[in-house]
Amino acid sequence: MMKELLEMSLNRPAELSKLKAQGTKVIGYFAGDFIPEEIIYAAGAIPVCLLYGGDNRSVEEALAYTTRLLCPFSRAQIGQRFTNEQPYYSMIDMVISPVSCQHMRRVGDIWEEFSGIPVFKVGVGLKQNEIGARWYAEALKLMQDKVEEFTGNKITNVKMKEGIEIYAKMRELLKKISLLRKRPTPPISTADFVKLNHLSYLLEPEVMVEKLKALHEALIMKKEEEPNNMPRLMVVGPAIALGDYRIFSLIEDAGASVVVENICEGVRNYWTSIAIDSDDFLAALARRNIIERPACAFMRYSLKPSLDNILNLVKEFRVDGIVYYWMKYCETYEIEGLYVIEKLQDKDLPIIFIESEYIANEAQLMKTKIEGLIEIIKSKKQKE
Amino acid sequence: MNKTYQEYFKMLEFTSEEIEKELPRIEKAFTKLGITEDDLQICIKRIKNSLDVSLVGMRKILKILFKETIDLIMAGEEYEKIVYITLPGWGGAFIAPIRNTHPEIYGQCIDMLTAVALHPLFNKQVQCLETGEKYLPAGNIHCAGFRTLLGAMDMGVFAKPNMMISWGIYCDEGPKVTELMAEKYDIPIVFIDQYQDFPTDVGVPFPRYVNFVAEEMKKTFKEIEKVLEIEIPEAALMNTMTETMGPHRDFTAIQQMMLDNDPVPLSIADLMIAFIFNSLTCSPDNKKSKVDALKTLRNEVKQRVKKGEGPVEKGRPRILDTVPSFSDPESNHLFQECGLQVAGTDMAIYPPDGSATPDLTDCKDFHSYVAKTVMAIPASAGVAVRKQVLAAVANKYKIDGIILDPSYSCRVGFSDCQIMRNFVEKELKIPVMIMEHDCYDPRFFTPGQIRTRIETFAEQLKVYKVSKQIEN
Repeated sequence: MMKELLEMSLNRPAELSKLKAQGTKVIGYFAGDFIPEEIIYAAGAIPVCLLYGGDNRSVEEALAYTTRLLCPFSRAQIGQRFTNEQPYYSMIDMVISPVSCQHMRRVGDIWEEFSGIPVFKVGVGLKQNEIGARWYAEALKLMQDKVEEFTGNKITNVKMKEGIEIYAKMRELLKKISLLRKRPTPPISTADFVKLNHLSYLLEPEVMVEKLKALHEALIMKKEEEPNNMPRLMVVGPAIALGDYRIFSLIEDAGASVVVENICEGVRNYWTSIAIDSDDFLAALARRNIIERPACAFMRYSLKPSLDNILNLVKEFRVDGIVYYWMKYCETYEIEGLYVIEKLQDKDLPIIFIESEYIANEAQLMKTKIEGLIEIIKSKKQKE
Repeated sequence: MNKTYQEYFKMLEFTSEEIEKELPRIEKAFTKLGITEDDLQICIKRIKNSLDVSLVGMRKILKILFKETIDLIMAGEEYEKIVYITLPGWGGAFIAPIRNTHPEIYGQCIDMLTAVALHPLFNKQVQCLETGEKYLPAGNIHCAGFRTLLGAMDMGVFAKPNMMISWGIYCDEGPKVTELMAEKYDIPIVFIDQYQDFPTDVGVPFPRYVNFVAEEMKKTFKEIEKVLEIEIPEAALMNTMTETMGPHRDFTAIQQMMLDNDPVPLSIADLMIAFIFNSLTCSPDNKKSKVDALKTLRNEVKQRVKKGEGPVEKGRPRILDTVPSFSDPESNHLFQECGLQVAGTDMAIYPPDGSATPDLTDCKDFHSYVAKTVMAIPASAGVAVRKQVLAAVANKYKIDGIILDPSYSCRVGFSDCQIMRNFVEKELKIPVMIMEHDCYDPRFFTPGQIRTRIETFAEQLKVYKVSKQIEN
């Protein structure tokens, strides 16, 4: 199934070129799950999430447009446009940019100045309350108007509902697959699960739902393997880009298993479902994205809730240790990381802090740190 | 009191009666901060080399900054409750009404005061910064202003407050570090937010955004009343506004005279001290002196304009420096040493026409007045406004070049530099240079390196001026 999906993803840019030639608009947006694809879908356009990264080439390229102070994930979203190596970044007709953290905010500003295509910015709630949700809902209304104007298509309630339902189904299936990793020997690796999640941002949602359904059924049917007793790790951090899979292979090669991820940018937030109780779809999206889903570190009052969320996942997935995978220069996640590390020390839960700027020679240091973590976990288990 | 102390206090305009009265407190504060005679000798040299202490107004300002820092250090012993508002520093609007109505409560825009005073006046910022690095690792990821504050609190120099207020209107760093401190010390915190999804096709002051900040402020006052168990009557807010008007007018007049005149009558090192001083809330004892200090400085600058005097001779290149150093007057002084006249900073120049006074028409109450002022500052109003201001300044005030130099660890300030450089090069067609520095970390300053950068820019400006003359 993974092979089939990867094959489809290789053909996707060519497919989109054909659709563009027939007049369909392709609208890019930046990751973080704050730009509802549902709205773009409902307007008859094709949403494409710009979330490639993991390679230093695009990060370096971005330095012609900004400083190294932006995190590598954000800089990659700038650099990809100008290296012309990744087709999605060149084929989009418009881009929608969340104004979430200062890094993503600047990505939008820089695209606006240098990319030559229209950029629309969406303000993301800073507090997880009604006030934050209201501002965001208003921003979504402005986005809806802009998308309608740009595509020339009116977004009807029927289309919007259809969009919300299909993406809700996708999230639900991802969650079901994710939860299978609670098993003593997870039937799917987190590296594969994250790839699936990434593909869900690029492939047609109907196709993706069909494939996820089939995969979920296949994984359920899969005979449970004998427990492998490998240390169960959680990867926590600000971003995992499509292509940034090094951390997973390093962990697996070192003899541990990543059983869950808790990442802000790059992966779809599938934990929180959407409640639709009226035709005010934007309010429902705002409630889900701002109030109900786990807090991101750029949000106010997020330290304690984020720690609680990590601890819940530790319990649910029986996590033995944490790899805090930090994108260099992300100030809010570093502060959150320092806070989390201090608090977890009290709980005797091993944690390491690994930083990345998508540079190839970082791998050796990462490997040493991961091996150290695994040794600590193993000796802790032996004592128990 | 030995010769060094005498010289130091004389430089700050203290009378012997004042010293006698204040000495026990000063000595206590000096002990807390670990001030030695060597520190004071360094400060005397630093101030005399980089600030114009021949100006009475400047000496008065330095004296008040000194006294305010002593008050801050002693606040834990002398006040019932303490409230801090953290960077960015447009927080006087909150602190002044609290202090005016409740003298038993101490409040301060804490890191603005420490940024401007700890290094030039006490030589202690580096020590606080290094201590703060226990919590916010060294390097360029975190704001040195916050590292200083965390360090000072850790060293026990500043007392633990009863409440913290964070202006979430500018960056993510401020609110997040303030939240970390609130968690660490178990202190209630309130945030005043602003959204930054500014459209490019709508002119300032973006009513939707201004109204939001004004509402946030109203809620914050309610929270302050609840946490500190006080009442802040509406009249107190209006009184604050009236009170701040005078010094603010004097400051804006100084900045305007610098924009309007050649030679520029005041150095950027002095302007930055006055700029931060103007944004601080002073204790009741220093309020009148603050009014007097800025008025005095304004009059002295006016006299210089009349006489055609300035720190750099007339006709030298005139530049705009977007964010000069807050904590290190020596680095700011380098511009004049390299023969450049700095006519201002875009932190004190407003849209749409590049004037030193923000357009506050239609402001009906205290909240909208403050919100509109804050929103009009180019750095907080986004790319479109910053471009508008740079264009207005360059065209209206015969600016020969622009230095883009916000603090390197400041994402909001620094990460738009290439956008601004692109704009200045293509649209304004004047020389522009991006210069790395850290406006809160004096360790960043290495005279040799920065001087070379400024000299290079000065050469570029001279070439530009000559080519313009040839063209004409």
